Amino acid sequence: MAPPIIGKSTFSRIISYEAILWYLLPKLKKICLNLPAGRKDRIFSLINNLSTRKPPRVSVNPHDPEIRFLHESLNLILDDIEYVAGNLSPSKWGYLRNLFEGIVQSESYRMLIRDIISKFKGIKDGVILELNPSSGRGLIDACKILGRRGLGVDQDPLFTEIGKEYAYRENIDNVEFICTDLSKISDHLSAPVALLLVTSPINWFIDQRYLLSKIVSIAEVNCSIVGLLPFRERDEEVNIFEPYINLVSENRLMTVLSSENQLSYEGFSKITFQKIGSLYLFTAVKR
Amino acid sequence: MPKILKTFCPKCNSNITVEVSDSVISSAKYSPTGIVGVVDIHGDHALVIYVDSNGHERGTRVYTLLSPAISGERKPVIIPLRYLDALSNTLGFRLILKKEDLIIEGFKRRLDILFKCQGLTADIELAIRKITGSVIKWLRAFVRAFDRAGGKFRFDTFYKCMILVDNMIYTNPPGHSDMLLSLLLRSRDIAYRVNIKALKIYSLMPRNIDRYYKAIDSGMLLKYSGRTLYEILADRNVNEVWEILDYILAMKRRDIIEIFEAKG
Repeated sequence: MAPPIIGKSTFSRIISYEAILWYLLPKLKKICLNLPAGRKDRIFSLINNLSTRKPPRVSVNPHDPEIRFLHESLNLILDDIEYVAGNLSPSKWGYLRNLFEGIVQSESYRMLIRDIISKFKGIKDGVILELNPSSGRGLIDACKILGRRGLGVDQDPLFTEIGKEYAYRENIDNVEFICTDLSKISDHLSAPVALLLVTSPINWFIDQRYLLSKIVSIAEVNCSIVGLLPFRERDEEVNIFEPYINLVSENRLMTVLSSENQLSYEGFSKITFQKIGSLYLFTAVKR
Repeated sequence: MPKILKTFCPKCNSNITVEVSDSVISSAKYSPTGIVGVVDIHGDHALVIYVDSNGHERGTRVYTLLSPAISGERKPVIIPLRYLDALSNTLGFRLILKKEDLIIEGFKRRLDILFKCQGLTADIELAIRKITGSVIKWLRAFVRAFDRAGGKFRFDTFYKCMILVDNMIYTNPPGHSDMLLSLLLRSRDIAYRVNIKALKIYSLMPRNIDRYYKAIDSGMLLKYSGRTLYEILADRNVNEVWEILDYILAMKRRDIIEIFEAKG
Protein backbone atom coordinates (compact mmCIF):
# COMPACT_ATOMS: atom_id res chain seq x y z
CA MET A 1 0.00 0.00 0.00
CA ALA A 2 1.41 3.38 -1.00
CA PRO A 3 2.24 5.76 1.86
CA PRO A 4 -0.24 8.65 2.25
CA ILE A 5 0.58 11.74 0.23
CA ILE A 6 -0.70 14.31 2.69
CA GLY A 7 -0.10 14.61 6.41
CA LYS A 8 -2.60 13.90 9.17
CA SER A 9 -3.30 17.53 10.12
CA THR A 10 -3.93 18.55 6.49
CA PHE A 11 -6.18 15.52 6.13
CA SER A 12 -8.28 16.44 9.20
CA ARG A 13 -8.74 20.03 8.07
CA ILE A 14 -10.01 19.04 4.64
CA ILE A 15 -12.35 16.42 6.10
CA SER A 16 -13.89 18.99 8.43
CA TYR A 17 -14.93 21.23 5.52
CA GLU A 18 -17.01 18.46 4.03
CA ALA A 19 -19.20 18.48 7.12
CA ILE A 20 -20.47 21.92 6.03
CA LEU A 21 -21.78 20.45 2.77
CA TRP A 22 -23.77 17.84 4.69
CA TYR A 23 -25.05 20.49 7.07
CA LEU A 24 -26.35 22.67 4.21
CA LEU A 25 -28.01 19.84 2.30
CA PRO A 26 -31.54 20.44 3.71
CA LYS A 27 -31.28 24.12 2.76
CA LEU A 28 -30.12 23.18 -0.73
CA LYS A 29 -33.09 20.84 -1.12
CA LYS A 30 -35.53 23.54 -0.07
CA ILE A 31 -34.01 26.20 -2.28
CA CYS A 32 -33.88 23.93 -5.36
CA LEU A 33 -37.66 24.22 -5.65
CA ASN A 34 -37.01 27.51 -7.47
CA LEU A 35 -34.84 25.95 -10.17
CA PRO A 36 -35.96 24.90 -13.68
CA ALA A 37 -37.48 21.42 -13.80
CA GLY A 38 -34.62 19.41 -15.33
CA ARG A 39 -31.95 20.78 -13.02
CA LYS A 40 -34.23 20.58 -9.99
CA ASP A 41 -35.06 16.91 -10.66
CA ARG A 42 -31.42 16.02 -11.11
CA ILE A 43 -30.32 17.70 -7.88
CA PHE A 44 -33.29 16.25 -5.96
CA SER A 45 -32.40 12.73 -7.05
CA LEU A 46 -28.79 13.27 -5.94
CA ILE A 47 -29.89 14.62 -2.56
CA ASN A 48 -32.32 11.73 -2.07
CA ASN A 49 -29.54 9.25 -2.72
CA LEU A 50 -27.36 11.00 -0.13
CA SER A 51 -30.13 11.06 2.47
CA THR A 52 -30.02 7.23 2.63
CA ARG A 53 -26.54 7.53 4.18
CA LYS A 54 -25.39 8.94 7.49
CA PRO A 55 -23.07 11.91 7.29
CA PRO A 56 -19.52 11.22 8.48
CA ARG A 57 -18.78 11.99 12.12
CA VAL A 58 -16.32 14.85 12.02
CA SER A 59 -15.55 17.46 14.64
CA VAL A 60 -15.86 20.97 13.29
CA ASN A 61 -14.63 24.11 15.00
CA PRO A 62 -17.22 26.81 14.16
CA HIS A 63 -14.79 29.54 15.26
CA ASP A 64 -12.14 28.47 12.76
CA PRO A 65 -12.00 31.42 10.26
CA GLU A 66 -11.77 29.05 7.30
CA ILE A 67 -14.77 27.02 8.44
CA ARG A 68 -16.72 30.21 9.02
CA PHE A 69 -15.77 31.53 5.59
CA LEU A 70 -16.89 28.35 3.82
CA HIS A 71 -20.11 28.04 5.77
CA GLU A 72 -21.23 31.65 5.47
CA SER A 73 -20.16 32.02 1.84
CA LEU A 74 -22.05 28.91 0.80
CA ASN A 75 -25.07 30.17 2.73
CA LEU A 76 -24.97 33.49 0.87
CA ILE A 77 -24.57 31.78 -2.49
CA LEU A 78 -27.42 29.36 -1.82
CA ASP A 79 -29.63 32.32 -0.89
CA ASP A 80 -29.08 33.62 -4.39
CA ILE A 81 -29.51 30.26 -6.07
CA GLU A 82 -31.49 31.45 -9.07
CA TYR A 83 -28.71 33.89 -10.04
CA VAL A 84 -25.99 31.28 -9.48
CA ALA A 85 -27.73 28.47 -11.32
CA GLY A 86 -28.80 30.73 -14.19
CA ASN A 87 -25.31 31.96 -14.99
CA LEU A 88 -23.33 28.99 -16.20
CA SER A 89 -20.46 30.56 -18.08
CA PRO A 90 -17.29 31.05 -16.01
CA SER A 91 -17.23 34.75 -16.84
CA LYS A 92 -20.51 35.18 -15.00
CA TRP A 93 -19.61 33.23 -11.90
CA GLY A 94 -19.30 36.53 -10.03
CA TYR A 95 -18.99 35.84 -6.36
CA LEU A 96 -18.44 32.11 -6.86
CA ARG A 97 -15.03 33.33 -7.95
CA ASN A 98 -14.55 34.87 -4.49
CA LEU A 99 -15.45 31.54 -2.88
CA PHE A 100 -12.85 29.70 -4.97
CA GLU A 101 -10.23 32.35 -4.32
CA GLY A 102 -10.91 32.06 -0.58
CA ILE A 103 -10.48 28.27 -0.71
CA VAL A 104 -7.29 28.38 -2.77
CA GLN A 105 -5.76 31.19 -0.68
CA SER A 106 -6.56 29.38 2.61
CA GLU A 107 -3.90 27.99 4.89
CA SER A 108 -5.40 24.50 4.50
CA TYR A 109 -4.97 24.55 0.73
CA ARG A 110 -1.41 25.81 1.10
CA MET A 111 -0.68 22.98 3.56
CA LEU A 112 -2.11 20.53 1.02
CA ILE A 113 0.13 21.88 -1.74
CA ARG A 114 3.20 21.82 0.51
CA ASP A 115 2.51 18.21 1.47
CA ILE A 116 2.01 17.21 -2.17
CA ILE A 117 4.95 19.08 -3.63
CA SER A 118 7.38 17.75 -1.01
CA LYS A 119 6.90 14.33 -2.65
CA PHE A 120 7.96 15.65 -6.08
CA LYS A 121 11.35 17.12 -5.47
CA GLY A 122 13.02 14.58 -7.78
CA ILE A 123 10.92 15.18 -10.91
CA LYS A 124 12.49 15.57 -14.32
CA ASP A 125 13.39 18.94 -15.83
CA GLY A 126 10.52 21.01 -17.05
CA VAL A 127 7.78 23.40 -16.02
CA ILE A 128 4.93 22.99 -13.60
CA LEU A 129 1.60 23.35 -15.36
CA GLU A 130 -1.62 23.92 -13.49
CA LEU A 131 -5.07 23.63 -15.06
CA ASN A 132 -7.57 26.25 -13.88
CA PRO A 133 -5.37 27.51 -11.04
CA SER A 134 -8.02 29.99 -9.80
CA SER A 135 -5.99 32.71 -8.00
CA GLY A 136 -2.81 30.72 -8.62
CA ARG A 137 -1.73 30.24 -5.00
CA GLY A 138 -1.05 26.52 -5.46
CA LEU A 139 1.05 27.09 -8.56
CA ILE A 140 3.02 29.98 -7.05
CA ASP A 141 3.80 27.95 -3.90
CA ALA A 142 4.71 24.84 -5.92
CA CYS A 143 7.10 26.83 -8.11
CA LYS A 144 8.71 28.43 -5.05
CA ILE A 145 9.25 25.04 -3.37
CA LEU A 146 10.62 23.29 -6.45
CA GLY A 147 12.41 26.29 -7.94
CA ARG A 148 10.75 25.73 -11.30
CA ARG A 149 9.01 27.90 -13.84
CA GLY A 150 5.23 27.62 -13.82
CA LEU A 151 2.36 28.11 -16.23
CA GLY A 152 -1.23 28.50 -15.09
CA VAL A 153 -3.89 28.00 -17.75
CA ASP A 154 -7.38 29.21 -16.89
CA GLN A 155 -10.47 29.52 -19.05
CA ASP A 156 -11.68 32.46 -16.96
CA PRO A 157 -10.06 35.79 -18.00
CA LEU A 158 -10.70 37.35 -14.60
CA PHE A 159 -8.98 34.53 -12.74
CA THR A 160 -6.04 34.91 -15.11
CA GLU A 161 -5.82 38.59 -14.15
CA ILE A 162 -6.11 37.70 -10.45
CA GLY A 163 -3.26 35.18 -10.79
CA LYS A 164 -1.08 37.84 -12.47
CA GLU A 165 -2.03 40.26 -9.69
CA TYR A 166 -0.73 37.91 -6.98
CA ALA A 167 2.43 37.16 -8.97
CA TYR A 168 3.13 40.89 -9.35
CA ARG A 169 2.39 41.62 -5.72
CA GLU A 170 4.81 38.94 -4.53
CA ASN A 171 7.49 39.78 -7.12
CA ILE A 172 7.15 36.39 -8.76
CA ASP A 173 8.63 36.44 -12.24
CA ASN A 174 8.88 32.72 -12.96
CA VAL A 175 5.13 32.03 -13.06
CA GLU A 176 2.96 32.97 -16.01
CA PHE A 177 -0.82 32.97 -16.21
CA ILE A 178 -2.65 32.72 -19.51
CA CYS A 179 -6.30 32.56 -20.46
CA THR A 180 -7.10 29.94 -23.04
CA ASP A 181 -9.22 26.88 -23.63
CA LEU A 182 -7.77 23.60 -22.33
CA SER A 183 -7.64 22.28 -25.89
CA LYS A 184 -5.13 24.99 -26.87
CA ILE A 185 -2.60 24.58 -24.06
CA SER A 186 0.05 22.99 -26.27
CA ASP A 187 0.22 26.22 -28.32
CA HIS A 188 1.62 27.95 -25.23
CA LEU A 189 4.09 25.33 -24.05
CA SER A 190 7.71 26.11 -24.90
CA ALA A 191 9.21 23.58 -22.48
CA PRO A 192 8.31 20.04 -21.38
CA VAL A 193 5.87 19.66 -18.51
CA ALA A 194 7.44 17.99 -15.49
CA LEU A 195 4.44 18.22 -13.18
CA LEU A 196 0.78 18.73 -14.03
CA LEU A 197 -1.42 20.02 -11.19
CA VAL A 198 -5.20 19.58 -11.19
CA THR A 199 -5.89 20.46 -7.57
CA SER A 200 -7.89 23.70 -7.74
CA PRO A 201 -11.64 23.38 -6.92
CA ILE A 202 -12.59 24.91 -10.30
CA ASN A 203 -11.75 21.54 -11.85
CA TRP A 204 -14.54 19.88 -9.84
CA PHE A 205 -17.05 21.64 -12.10
CA ILE A 206 -15.55 20.38 -15.35
CA ASP A 207 -16.74 17.15 -16.94
CA GLN A 208 -14.32 14.55 -15.61
CA ARG A 209 -14.04 12.50 -18.78
CA TYR A 210 -13.16 15.65 -20.71
CA LEU A 211 -10.71 16.73 -18.01
CA LEU A 212 -8.96 13.35 -17.92
CA SER A 213 -8.72 13.33 -21.70
CA LYS A 214 -6.99 16.75 -21.56
CA ILE A 215 -4.64 15.54 -18.84
CA VAL A 216 -3.75 12.53 -20.98
CA SER A 217 -3.10 14.67 -24.08
CA ILE A 218 -0.92 17.20 -22.22
CA ALA A 219 1.20 14.80 -20.16
CA GLU A 220 4.30 13.63 -22.01
CA VAL A 221 6.55 10.74 -21.07
CA ASN A 222 7.85 10.97 -17.48
CA CYS A 223 5.41 13.76 -16.68
CA SER A 224 3.95 13.43 -13.16
CA ILE A 225 0.36 14.41 -12.48
CA VAL A 226 -1.35 15.32 -9.22
CA GLY A 227 -5.07 15.86 -8.95
CA LEU A 228 -7.66 16.47 -6.25
CA LEU A 229 -11.12 15.55 -7.51
CA PRO A 230 -14.36 14.20 -6.11
CA PHE A 231 -15.12 10.71 -7.42
CA ARG A 232 -17.85 8.23 -6.66
CA GLU A 233 -16.64 5.30 -4.62
CA ARG A 234 -19.24 3.09 -6.31
CA ASP A 235 -21.37 3.85 -9.33
CA GLU A 236 -24.63 3.92 -7.37
CA GLU A 237 -23.24 5.98 -4.50
CA VAL A 238 -23.57 9.75 -4.98
CA ASN A 239 -20.74 11.99 -3.79
CA ILE A 240 -21.65 14.84 -1.38
CA PHE A 241 -20.11 17.36 -3.79
CA GLU A 242 -22.40 16.36 -6.64
CA PRO A 243 -25.62 18.27 -5.78
CA TYR A 244 -23.56 21.47 -5.35
CA ILE A 245 -21.58 20.87 -8.55
CA ASN A 246 -24.83 20.31 -10.42
CA LEU A 247 -26.04 23.80 -9.50
CA VAL A 248 -23.55 25.12 -12.03
CA SER A 249 -22.77 22.28 -14.40
CA GLU A 250 -24.20 18.93 -15.40
CA ASN A 251 -21.38 16.80 -14.16
CA ARG A 252 -21.84 13.13 -13.34
CA LEU A 253 -18.79 12.02 -11.47
CA MET A 254 -16.73 9.03 -12.47
CA THR A 255 -15.94 6.25 -10.04
CA VAL A 256 -12.46 5.89 -8.59
CA LEU A 257 -12.03 2.59 -10.36
CA SER A 258 -13.02 3.89 -13.80
CA SER A 259 -10.68 6.85 -13.51
CA GLU A 260 -7.85 4.61 -12.37
CA ASN A 261 -8.54 2.28 -15.30
CA GLN A 262 -8.57 5.19 -17.72
CA LEU A 263 -5.23 6.46 -16.48
CA SER A 264 -3.73 2.99 -16.69
CA TYR A 265 -5.13 2.45 -20.18
CA GLU A 266 -3.63 5.75 -21.34
CA GLY A 267 -0.15 4.74 -20.28
CA PHE A 268 0.18 6.04 -16.75
CA SER A 269 1.98 4.07 -14.05
CA LYS A 270 2.61 4.46 -10.30
CA ILE A 271 -1.05 5.42 -9.93
CA THR A 272 -2.04 6.16 -6.33
CA PHE A 273 -5.28 7.38 -4.80
CA GLN A 274 -5.61 8.79 -1.30
CA LYS A 275 -9.18 9.19 -0.06
CA ILE A 276 -9.80 12.41 1.85
CA GLY A 277 -13.46 12.13 2.77
CA SER A 278 -15.28 12.49 -0.56
CA LEU A 279 -12.25 13.89 -2.35
CA TYR A 280 -9.48 11.81 -3.87
CA LEU A 281 -5.91 12.91 -4.19
CA PHE A 282 -4.34 11.00 -7.05
CA THR A 283 -0.88 10.87 -8.55
CA ALA A 284 0.51 9.11 -11.59
CA VAL A 285 3.47 9.16 -13.98
CA LYS A 286 3.26 8.88 -17.76
CA ARG A 287 5.37 5.96 -19.03
CA MET B 1 21.88 85.16 -45.92
CA PRO B 2 19.06 82.63 -46.37
CA LYS B 3 18.02 81.88 -49.88
CA ILE B 4 14.41 81.60 -51.01
CA LEU B 5 13.73 78.50 -53.06
CA LYS B 6 10.56 77.83 -54.99
CA THR B 7 9.45 74.34 -55.95
CA PHE B 8 6.33 72.24 -56.54
CA CYS B 9 4.85 69.39 -54.50
CA PRO B 10 3.36 66.72 -56.80
CA LYS B 11 1.35 65.15 -53.95
CA CYS B 12 -0.65 68.20 -52.94
CA ASN B 13 -0.24 69.94 -56.32
CA SER B 14 0.87 73.17 -54.73
CA ASN B 15 3.73 75.61 -55.22
CA ILE B 16 6.05 75.56 -52.25
CA THR B 17 8.34 78.31 -51.05
CA VAL B 18 11.07 77.35 -48.57
CA GLU B 19 13.85 79.28 -46.93
CA VAL B 20 17.25 77.64 -47.27
CA SER B 21 19.65 78.78 -44.58
CA ASP B 22 23.42 79.29 -44.86
CA SER B 23 24.02 76.17 -42.81
CA VAL B 24 22.13 74.05 -45.37
CA ILE B 25 24.15 75.51 -48.25
CA SER B 26 27.33 74.94 -46.30
CA SER B 27 26.33 71.29 -45.65
CA ALA B 28 25.81 70.81 -49.39
CA LYS B 29 29.25 72.25 -50.10
CA TYR B 30 30.92 69.75 -47.79
CA SER B 31 28.69 66.80 -48.72
CA PRO B 32 30.39 64.06 -50.82
CA THR B 33 27.59 64.26 -53.37
CA GLY B 34 27.42 68.04 -53.35
CA ILE B 35 23.75 68.05 -52.38
CA VAL B 36 21.70 67.81 -49.18
CA GLY B 37 18.04 67.12 -48.56
CA VAL B 38 15.71 69.39 -46.59
CA VAL B 39 12.27 68.26 -45.47
CA ASP B 40 9.04 70.21 -45.65
CA ILE B 41 6.09 68.57 -43.84
CA HIS B 42 2.68 68.78 -45.56
CA GLY B 43 0.16 67.13 -43.25
CA ASP B 44 0.22 63.45 -44.17
CA HIS B 45 3.33 63.55 -46.38
CA ALA B 46 6.79 65.06 -46.46
CA LEU B 47 8.47 66.72 -49.43
CA VAL B 48 12.25 66.24 -49.53
CA ILE B 49 13.95 68.96 -51.57
CA TYR B 50 17.51 68.33 -52.70
CA VAL B 51 19.61 71.49 -52.59
CA ASP B 52 23.08 72.05 -54.03
CA SER B 53 25.87 74.30 -52.78
CA ASN B 54 24.49 77.22 -54.77
CA GLY B 55 21.15 76.94 -53.10
CA HIS B 56 19.42 75.62 -56.22
CA GLU B 57 16.91 72.81 -56.22
CA ARG B 58 18.27 69.60 -57.70
CA GLY B 59 15.14 67.40 -57.39
CA THR B 60 12.35 66.45 -55.01
CA ARG B 61 10.85 63.29 -53.58
CA VAL B 62 7.60 62.71 -51.65
CA TYR B 63 7.38 60.36 -48.64
CA THR B 64 4.21 59.33 -46.79
CA LEU B 65 4.23 60.02 -43.06
CA LEU B 66 3.37 57.04 -40.81
CA SER B 67 1.55 59.36 -38.45
CA PRO B 68 0.25 62.62 -39.87
CA ALA B 69 1.72 65.78 -38.41
CA ILE B 70 -0.46 68.07 -36.39
CA SER B 71 -1.62 70.98 -38.51
CA GLY B 72 0.50 73.28 -36.43
CA GLU B 73 -2.07 76.01 -36.61
CA ARG B 74 -2.59 75.82 -32.86
CA LYS B 75 0.19 77.01 -30.62
CA PRO B 76 1.13 74.65 -27.79
CA VAL B 77 -0.28 75.29 -24.33
CA ILE B 78 2.73 75.94 -22.12
CA ILE B 79 2.58 74.69 -18.54
CA PRO B 80 4.03 77.24 -16.08
CA LEU B 81 7.30 76.24 -14.43
CA ARG B 82 5.81 76.16 -10.93
CA TYR B 83 3.61 73.18 -11.91
CA LEU B 84 6.68 71.25 -12.98
CA ASP B 85 8.22 71.46 -9.49
CA ALA B 86 6.14 68.44 -8.48
CA LEU B 87 7.96 66.38 -11.11
CA SER B 88 11.32 65.33 -9.69
CA ASN B 89 12.52 63.00 -12.47
CA THR B 90 10.87 64.61 -15.50
CA LEU B 91 12.71 67.49 -17.15
CA GLY B 92 10.02 68.19 -19.68
CA PHE B 93 7.10 66.70 -21.55
CA ARG B 94 4.91 67.28 -24.54
CA LEU B 95 1.45 65.81 -24.93
CA ILE B 96 -0.05 65.80 -28.42
CA LEU B 97 -3.78 65.13 -28.46
CA LYS B 98 -4.64 64.10 -31.98
CA LYS B 99 -8.40 64.41 -31.96
CA GLU B 100 -8.38 67.78 -30.25
CA ASP B 101 -5.37 68.93 -32.31
CA LEU B 102 -3.91 70.20 -29.06
CA ILE B 103 -0.36 70.29 -27.79
CA ILE B 104 0.42 70.71 -24.11
CA GLU B 105 4.00 71.02 -23.03
CA GLY B 106 6.15 72.00 -20.11
CA PHE B 107 9.93 72.15 -19.88
CA LYS B 108 12.13 72.93 -16.92
CA ARG B 109 14.90 73.97 -19.27
CA ARG B 110 15.81 73.92 -22.94
CA LEU B 111 16.04 70.33 -24.10
CA ASP B 112 16.97 68.69 -27.38
CA ILE B 113 16.37 64.99 -26.67
CA LEU B 114 12.93 63.64 -25.90
CA PHE B 115 11.60 60.09 -25.94
CA LYS B 116 8.39 59.80 -27.90
CA CYS B 117 5.68 57.19 -27.77
CA GLN B 118 2.82 57.24 -30.24
CA GLY B 119 -0.69 56.06 -29.62
CA LEU B 120 -4.01 56.16 -31.44
CA THR B 121 -5.35 59.16 -29.59
CA ALA B 122 -2.24 60.80 -28.17
CA ASP B 123 1.52 60.99 -28.48
CA ILE B 124 3.69 61.69 -25.46
CA GLU B 125 7.20 63.01 -25.51
CA LEU B 126 9.25 62.90 -22.36
CA ALA B 127 12.65 64.13 -21.25
CA ILE B 128 13.88 62.38 -18.14
CA ARG B 129 16.91 62.64 -15.88
CA LYS B 130 18.11 59.07 -16.40
CA ILE B 131 17.14 56.62 -19.11
CA THR B 132 16.24 53.10 -18.04
CA GLY B 133 14.12 50.32 -19.59
CA SER B 134 11.28 51.13 -17.22
CA VAL B 135 10.96 54.67 -18.70
CA ILE B 136 10.03 53.25 -22.10
CA LYS B 137 7.56 50.83 -20.49
CA TRP B 138 5.87 53.63 -18.55
CA LEU B 139 5.63 55.78 -21.67
CA ARG B 140 3.92 52.92 -23.50
CA ALA B 141 1.53 52.37 -20.61
CA PHE B 142 0.72 56.10 -20.49
CA VAL B 143 -0.10 56.24 -24.18
CA ARG B 144 -2.23 53.07 -23.96
CA ALA B 145 -4.04 54.65 -21.03
CA PHE B 146 -5.05 57.54 -23.27
CA ASP B 147 -6.36 55.11 -25.86
CA ARG B 148 -8.33 53.27 -23.16
CA ALA B 149 -9.73 56.55 -21.87
CA GLY B 150 -11.29 57.04 -25.31
CA GLY B 151 -9.50 60.30 -25.94
CA LYS B 152 -11.47 62.21 -23.29
CA PHE B 153 -9.08 64.72 -21.81
CA ARG B 154 -9.08 66.77 -18.63
CA PHE B 155 -5.95 68.63 -17.69
CA ASP B 156 -6.16 68.10 -13.93
CA THR B 157 -6.35 64.32 -14.20
CA PHE B 158 -3.59 64.30 -16.80
CA TYR B 159 -1.44 66.31 -14.38
CA LYS B 160 -2.09 63.76 -11.61
CA CYS B 161 -1.06 61.00 -14.03
CA MET B 162 2.16 62.85 -14.86
CA ILE B 163 3.00 63.13 -11.16
CA LEU B 164 2.25 59.45 -10.58
CA VAL B 165 4.31 58.29 -13.58
CA ASP B 166 7.15 60.62 -12.60
CA ASN B 167 7.17 59.12 -9.11
CA MET B 168 7.23 55.51 -10.31
CA ILE B 169 9.21 55.85 -13.52
CA TYR B 170 12.26 53.95 -12.29
CA THR B 171 10.29 50.87 -11.19
CA ASN B 172 8.97 48.38 -13.72
CA PRO B 173 5.27 49.03 -14.33
CA PRO B 174 2.88 46.14 -13.65
CA GLY B 175 0.96 44.62 -16.55
CA HIS B 176 -2.18 46.52 -15.60
CA SER B 177 -0.53 49.97 -15.32
CA ASP B 178 -2.30 51.22 -18.45
CA MET B 179 -5.69 50.29 -16.93
CA LEU B 180 -4.76 52.00 -13.70
CA LEU B 181 -3.61 55.20 -15.45
CA SER B 182 -6.75 55.25 -17.59
CA LEU B 183 -8.86 55.10 -14.41
CA LEU B 184 -6.97 58.13 -13.16
CA LEU B 185 -7.40 59.97 -16.47
CA ARG B 186 -11.16 59.34 -16.34
CA SER B 187 -11.48 59.78 -12.58
CA ARG B 188 -13.69 62.88 -12.83
CA ASP B 189 -16.21 60.99 -14.94
CA ILE B 190 -16.43 57.55 -13.36
CA ALA B 191 -17.72 56.09 -10.12
CA TYR B 192 -18.37 52.56 -8.87
CA ARG B 193 -21.09 50.64 -7.11
CA VAL B 194 -20.52 47.72 -4.77
CA ASN B 195 -22.02 44.23 -5.04
CA ILE B 196 -22.82 43.80 -1.35
CA LYS B 197 -23.01 40.01 -1.42
CA ALA B 198 -19.70 39.65 -3.24
CA LEU B 199 -18.12 42.09 -0.79
CA LYS B 200 -19.47 40.10 2.14
CA ILE B 201 -17.96 36.86 0.83
CA TYR B 202 -14.70 38.69 0.21
CA SER B 203 -14.69 40.15 3.74
CA LEU B 204 -15.12 36.66 5.20
CA MET B 205 -11.95 35.41 3.47
CA PRO B 206 -9.34 34.84 6.21
CA ARG B 207 -6.51 35.96 3.89
CA ASN B 208 -7.97 38.56 1.58
CA ILE B 209 -5.94 41.20 -0.21
CA ASP B 210 -6.74 44.01 2.27
CA ARG B 211 -3.55 43.00 4.07
CA TYR B 212 -1.49 44.36 1.17
CA TYR B 213 -2.99 47.86 1.33
CA LYS B 214 -2.66 50.68 3.87
CA ALA B 215 -4.57 53.48 2.15
CA ILE B 216 -7.85 51.63 1.60
CA ASP B 217 -9.83 48.59 2.70
CA SER B 218 -13.19 47.00 2.02
CA GLY B 219 -14.92 49.22 4.59
CA MET B 220 -13.73 52.38 2.86
CA LEU B 221 -14.63 50.91 -0.51
CA LEU B 222 -18.23 50.60 0.64
CA LYS B 223 -18.21 54.08 2.16
CA TYR B 224 -17.11 55.70 -1.15
CA SER B 225 -19.53 53.77 -3.32
CA GLY B 226 -21.31 56.07 -5.78
CA ARG B 227 -18.73 58.88 -5.55
CA THR B 228 -16.46 59.76 -8.46
CA LEU B 229 -12.92 58.40 -8.26
CA TYR B 230 -11.71 62.01 -8.32
CA GLU B 231 -13.45 62.70 -5.00
CA ILE B 232 -11.96 59.56 -3.46
CA LEU B 233 -8.44 60.48 -4.59
CA ALA B 234 -8.63 64.15 -3.53
CA ASP B 235 -5.96 65.19 -0.99
CA ARG B 236 -4.12 61.88 -1.34
CA ASN B 237 -0.40 61.65 -1.91
CA VAL B 238 0.92 59.90 -4.98
CA ASN B 239 1.58 56.55 -3.24
CA GLU B 240 -1.94 56.50 -1.82
CA VAL B 241 -3.40 57.32 -5.25
CA TRP B 242 -1.55 54.32 -6.70
CA GLU B 243 -2.72 52.03 -3.90
CA ILE B 244 -6.34 53.09 -4.11
CA LEU B 245 -6.52 52.69 -7.89
CA ASP B 246 -4.76 49.33 -7.68
CA TYR B 247 -7.27 48.19 -5.06
CA ILE B 248 -10.22 49.38 -7.14
CA LEU B 249 -8.94 47.42 -10.12
CA ALA B 250 -8.49 44.36 -7.89
CA MET B 251 -12.07 44.67 -6.66
CA LYS B 252 -13.32 45.08 -10.23
CA ARG B 253 -11.53 41.87 -11.20
CA ARG B 254 -13.40 40.08 -8.45
CA ASP B 255 -16.79 41.49 -9.52
CA ILE B 256 -17.06 43.16 -6.14
CA ILE B 257 -17.51 46.55 -7.81
CA GLU B 258 -18.91 47.71 -11.10
CA ILE B 259 -17.53 50.91 -12.62
CA PHE B 260 -19.93 53.26 -14.41
CA GLU B 261 -19.99 56.71 -16.02
CA ALA B 262 -21.00 59.29 -13.43
CA LYS B 263 -23.44 61.85 -14.71
CA GLY B 264 -22.89 65.59 -14.20
